[in-house]
Amino acid sequence: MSGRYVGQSVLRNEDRRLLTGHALFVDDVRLEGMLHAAFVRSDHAHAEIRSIDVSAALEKPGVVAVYTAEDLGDYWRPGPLLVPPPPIEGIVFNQATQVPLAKGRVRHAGEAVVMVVAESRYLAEDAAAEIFVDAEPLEAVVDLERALEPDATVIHPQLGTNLAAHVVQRHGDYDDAKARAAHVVTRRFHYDRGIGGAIENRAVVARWDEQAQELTVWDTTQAPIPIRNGLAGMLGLMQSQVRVIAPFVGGGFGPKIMMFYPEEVLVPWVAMQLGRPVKWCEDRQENFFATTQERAQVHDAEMAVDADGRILGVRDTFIHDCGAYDPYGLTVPINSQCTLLGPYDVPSYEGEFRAVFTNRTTVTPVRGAGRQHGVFVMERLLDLAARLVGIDAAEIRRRNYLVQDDFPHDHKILFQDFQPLVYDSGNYRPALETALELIGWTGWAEEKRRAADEGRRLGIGVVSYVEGTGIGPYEGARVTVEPNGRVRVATGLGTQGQGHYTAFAQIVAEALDVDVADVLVTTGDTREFNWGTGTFASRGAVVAGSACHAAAQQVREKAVGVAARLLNVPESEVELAAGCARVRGEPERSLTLGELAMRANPLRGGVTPGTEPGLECTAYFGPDRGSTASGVHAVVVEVDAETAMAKFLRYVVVHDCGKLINPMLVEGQVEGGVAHGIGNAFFEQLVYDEQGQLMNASFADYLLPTSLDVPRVGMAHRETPAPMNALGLKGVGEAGCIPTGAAFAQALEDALDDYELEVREIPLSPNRLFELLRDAPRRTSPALSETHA
Amino acid sequence: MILDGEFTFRADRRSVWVLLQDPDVLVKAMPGAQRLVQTGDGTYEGHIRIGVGPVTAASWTLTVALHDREEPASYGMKVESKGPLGFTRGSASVELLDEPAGTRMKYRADMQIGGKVAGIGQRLLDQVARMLTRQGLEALSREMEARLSLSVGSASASVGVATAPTLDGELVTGGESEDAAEANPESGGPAGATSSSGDDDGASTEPEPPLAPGMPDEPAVVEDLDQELPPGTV
Repeated sequence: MSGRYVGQSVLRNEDRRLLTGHALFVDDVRLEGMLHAAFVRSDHAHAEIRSIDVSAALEKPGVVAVYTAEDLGDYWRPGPLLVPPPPIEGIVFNQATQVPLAKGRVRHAGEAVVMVVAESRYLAEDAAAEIFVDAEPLEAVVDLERALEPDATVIHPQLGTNLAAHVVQRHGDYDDAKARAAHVVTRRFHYDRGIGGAIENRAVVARWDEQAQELTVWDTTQAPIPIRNGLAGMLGLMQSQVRVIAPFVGGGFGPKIMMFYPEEVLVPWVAMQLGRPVKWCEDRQENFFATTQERAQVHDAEMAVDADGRILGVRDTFIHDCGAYDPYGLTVPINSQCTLLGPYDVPSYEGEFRAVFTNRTTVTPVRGAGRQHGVFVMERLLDLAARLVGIDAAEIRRRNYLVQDDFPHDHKILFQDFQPLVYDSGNYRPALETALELIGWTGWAEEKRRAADEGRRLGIGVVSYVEGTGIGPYEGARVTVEPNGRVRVATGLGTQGQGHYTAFAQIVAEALDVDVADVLVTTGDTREFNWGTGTFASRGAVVAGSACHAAAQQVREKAVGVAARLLNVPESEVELAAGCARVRGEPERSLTLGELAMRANPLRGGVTPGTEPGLECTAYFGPDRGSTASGVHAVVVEVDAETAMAKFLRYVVVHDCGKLINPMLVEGQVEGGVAHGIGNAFFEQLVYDEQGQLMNASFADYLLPTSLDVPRVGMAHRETPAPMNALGLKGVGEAGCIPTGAAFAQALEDALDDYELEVREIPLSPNRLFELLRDAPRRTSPALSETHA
Repeated sequence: MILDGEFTFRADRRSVWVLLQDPDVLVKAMPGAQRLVQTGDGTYEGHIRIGVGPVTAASWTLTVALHDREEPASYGMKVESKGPLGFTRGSASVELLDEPAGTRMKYRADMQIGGKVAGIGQRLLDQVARMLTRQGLEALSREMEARLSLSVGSASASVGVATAPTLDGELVTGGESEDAAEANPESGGPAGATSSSGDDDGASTEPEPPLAPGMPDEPAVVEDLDQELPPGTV
């Protein structure tokens, strides 16, 4: 469906409030009598707590209460397992979820140990500084392989091992494929950690209203409804007594879907204990330690290809870093395992991973959520195989794409939603050709040579990816036409800058033919909508958008029915246009939607039995499984071999997220994703020392890319509609950042093709690239011809 | 973090040994130290006040325990400090060698740093550690000078020579001017980094810049890292 409103680059409904400073963020919540919390956090990555002395803090002026784990009584308990292990045969899964405050042992630097509540944050921080935690250090387990050695210190003694999970998924016979192969590429690849880097850190404010017997919590969460449900359970309240509001949130990117952070558990509890509102806002320092992170993995991978470069099989064995706890189950490593297969026909696949606990901050999805790693491994293997076969990077991809007749394609393994990894639809090769054209692939040799004449080294890279998006279980939406003719839409998920207020309004406007600006969307307030799961896995537009569509269609039918009765014509004679219902061919016989809403809610007289009052409907959408988006990234970089500085000169993304609701919003998502991807490829890396101490916990040392580092992204949209939802939607939230590292690696090798350089790790940095170049021998002949021979 | 290096005192081993065990002397040698008291045989407790770059100055508790003492030749040290911004803990070994010009002290410390100070101050820590170590040794050397002048009644221009500590575990030998100069590219020239020959380097009668160890309530905040002292002279 591409229509009057859907498919148009409509300006955002939310921007007026955001740009004029009238949008509510959690830190804007200021309540009378509000107290402030601060946390004492572990200095050690791994230690036994011997004693905690809070006496000096309690004597400080303005301190209201101080809590250790012992002081929480029965309220202290490990958090829920958010995602249980999928039903894969032979799976091993060891559960150890995070705790509200460390008891007995700390397992990562920055883990919360004591909560201080005071009249101001300043007083709370000052008091926290007076608290003495006596801790005896234990061996910090930081290295992923070390974690599995028999003599490594066990982080969760009750498990007896640092192994969090072991999963094997396979289809076909890889050994047979390898035996038949013309070439086999075997390499080890490393991916390391970064942060989500949202502008707004986490924040929680809670107020217990004794008269109303109601708890209100403002929370930067991406999942307000599960937070409400969980808090109600923990606090012994009815779900209806708890209202969670996730107002405007300054970026989510995954870490804010994690449930429950210690602060999220403690602030509402302490507000009830003390009978006063309590606020906690994470500072940037805390964010580096206490907000979840992602992506350390080590892969040993192998690809078998025939003489033409067709993939016969892939084997990949990797270790995944869970960090200190594993509340998010296996979502991230299973995404890596599945997404590795990409848009390709892989007749045999053996994927095996071990997840391990380490003494580092807990890992949960961060934009891409494991997909980066798989894509990096696959794309690198293809590049290496192409050299052996003697074809270029584009050609080996062309030869291996799944083609139109292959859909739906079943990879015969399980995806993160426990459903078979089935691609619903896709059309990959045209996206590649468009990307090659946009980046200047055909004239590349000439461009590179001309640059070389000027003493400049340019390199080009082109890679593909798929992104499993829009998974279940469900979302819902309620659409209400109000008597003033404006339309209200409420849905249960939270919004963190994606443009939901506009995209959902467009979907509803299309169904009811009203102005997009007259559709007011509310997200993230459990009082407005009672059901839902949350914003993750690029699913908001697909799942909640489809629910909005279904609810709006029902309202439309209702409006048409009421209008037909009032105008005394058959329903088939009624059309909706410009905010009115009117008789087809007789536009003067019309009623506004507002009038219809009033007439559908009479104060006297009878209504038709079985009908509901008003122009309001609620609908739900739950897909069987996700829809598979896809795309191609191409990049041109310039590298200075002396300084090892690289500059992204051109960046092209050709992506296919099914039908577009709003091309402008999609472009924003992709551009933002590319910025994340570029940061991940060349700037951002969390550096831990051997003791598990994070050594660059500030934006002075942890480098986010700036506007000078990220080029304007050239973009082309392709629309292969998803068959499983009415609007043909697929998600796009993570598309921009998934294959960036792989594209960068390929481009670097091209720019530095006189070095025997293989990029097998991400993130890189100028320093690291300098080391790689220092250690790389110079080639005696060009790369391609050498390997071809 | 490994901190190692050596320093030559123009005094005999026994005098240096005594100097190094005296808490009243050590408190002056430790930048930012506010108090250091002997709590037992070879154990000390105290407070230091230190800030690094963006980490605001704060008071840290300090405990030092000496072990394996082979008077006057060598001893080991365990050091722990803890403050609201994190902790440091580590061990050090100190060796005193007879030299014609006095006593050469070799030291090697392996320090762990944790908590906030590790997270924010990392970029500065190596340089700061080098600087504080040098400041401390120079202060010790001045103290030795003062003692010598008291006992002998004559002050010499210089009583100690330091080679800058290196950070990668490599020991810089004080007698090899080439090596020392290589390890200290900032240094004015090899002459300043040599050991005994530096004694008559008349250009360095006054310490530069003035040091303020042990001054109460005076946090040793290192603000300008480009400010490099010429090594080897006091």
